[in-house]
Amino acid sequence: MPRGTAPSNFSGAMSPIAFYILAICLVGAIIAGAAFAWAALRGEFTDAAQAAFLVFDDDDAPRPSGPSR
Amino acid sequence: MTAPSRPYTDSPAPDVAASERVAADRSTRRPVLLFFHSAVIWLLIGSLLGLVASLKFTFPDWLTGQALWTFGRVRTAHLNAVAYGWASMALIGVAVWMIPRLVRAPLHRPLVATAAAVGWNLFLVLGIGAVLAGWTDGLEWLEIPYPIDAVVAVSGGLMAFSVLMTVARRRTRHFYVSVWYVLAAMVWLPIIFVTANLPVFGGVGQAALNWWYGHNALGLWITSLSLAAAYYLVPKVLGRPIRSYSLSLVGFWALAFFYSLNGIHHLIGGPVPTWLITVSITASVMMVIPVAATAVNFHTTMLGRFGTLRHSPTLAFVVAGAMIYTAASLQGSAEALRTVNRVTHFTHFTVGHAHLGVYGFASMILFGAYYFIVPRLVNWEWPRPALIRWHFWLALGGIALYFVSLTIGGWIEGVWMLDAARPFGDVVSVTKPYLVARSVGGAMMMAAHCVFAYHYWLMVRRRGPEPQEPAWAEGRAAG
Repeated sequence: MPRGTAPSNFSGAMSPIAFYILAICLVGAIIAGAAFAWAALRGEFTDAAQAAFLVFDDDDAPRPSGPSR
Repeated sequence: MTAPSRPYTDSPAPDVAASERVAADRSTRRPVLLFFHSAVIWLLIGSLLGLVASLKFTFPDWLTGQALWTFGRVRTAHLNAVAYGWASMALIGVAVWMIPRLVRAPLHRPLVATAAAVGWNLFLVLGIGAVLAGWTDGLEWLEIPYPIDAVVAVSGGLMAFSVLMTVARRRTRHFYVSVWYVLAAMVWLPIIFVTANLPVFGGVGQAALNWWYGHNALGLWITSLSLAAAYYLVPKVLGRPIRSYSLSLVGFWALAFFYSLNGIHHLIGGPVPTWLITVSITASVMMVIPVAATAVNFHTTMLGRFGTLRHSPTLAFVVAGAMIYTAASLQGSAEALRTVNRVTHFTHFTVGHAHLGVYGFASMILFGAYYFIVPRLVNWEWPRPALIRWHFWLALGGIALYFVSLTIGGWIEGVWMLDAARPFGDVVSVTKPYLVARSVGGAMMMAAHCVFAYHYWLMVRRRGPEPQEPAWAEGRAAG
């Protein structure tokens, strides 16, 4: 360390631990961000009120008869 | 009841929907049954191992003659049997069954999914056998030796291939929120599992990666697939959509963005950079956002419909699981705070919290999913509805007793351990009654599983009285 430089709280902290975790999380964040952007661009977040009915598209337990099991 | 005012724009005609559902169910039947059968067997094995480990706190000289039955091995085998055997195999079965219905396409290569189930079982037999023989990697949640991990990596890859290719061949334009959760879990698990098993880490770095993996296995794998099941089952049984679909997407994306760094809070006080711990605590507290979004959504969906719980085993289990999810998650965020963690770390409190999450939340939802899916797989109704009530109350009572006793006992243990004037022997003694209560709770859960497994066996073999209507259906109109 050059003379006169204050010791940093991060000196020695950028060990392989931090590097690995940050690198892995960065890759994960890029994947998540890309997935989010892709979803937004293809209109996944529009018409949400109707999308909620997708779960009934298999025609099982027809509405409005209620609980099936 | 709110009936839909207009069909979704992508919705198929009723006859088309029915034929697609039949094709989807036919494609998933064999692999899902194999996953479900295996999961029930691993549940029994895992419960028995857990009960033995629990009793060793009260009878420390019991079963000490052979290394196989020592606490370190039995407890480790229990964790792997329930996490990778019961929970993972049952959750995969639910996901494999749901996805073709939700994307309106038959399962891609069902034989590949079946092979994945066989491989997953091989991994568990070899892995748990290795643990009981004393061969482990020595890392929590990653004890199974990494050469054996290769088996589950291949099996998981096959299973993900089958599911992802099914989604790629979908006939729907939008993804329902359950599909988002399943897709994400199928991507997240390989990333975290392969990364954590790379034989390049050591020392403190390995500890950090270990807890990064352990917590993400819970949050990005088990939680994601459990919520996927809940978002499918609650609207299905109620016959009305979830209260706010937008909020469900907020919950999913908030989980995706905030969860990953949660695990490092297990190393508070350890030789890890302070800023890294602080980032993890922040991420843990941020989890309040997806948890609140999910909780508000489920609870408002149920408003005015709680009477339905008496007439649907599925809903009873799933709603209990969803409520416990809220409690367990908020407790987890609080536990990550330094002031709380200072007391609870290295105590039974943490064990109670872990069981609240994996059992009270995930397993209860899985039981509910079984009660919904299995009749559709075997075209038969549950023959003895009274056994379902026994299962429900034994499971709920067991986890309640287990959690409350360990929470109180663990807190006292933590406070006493911080008092340097107290001998450690006193700390051990004060927890004894709570550990007895924990074993009683564990025995109740074990009994619940025996009832469930026996009823499941009756169901798949079509034994017992021929059911005339779905279980608990009596008096439904009045309810």
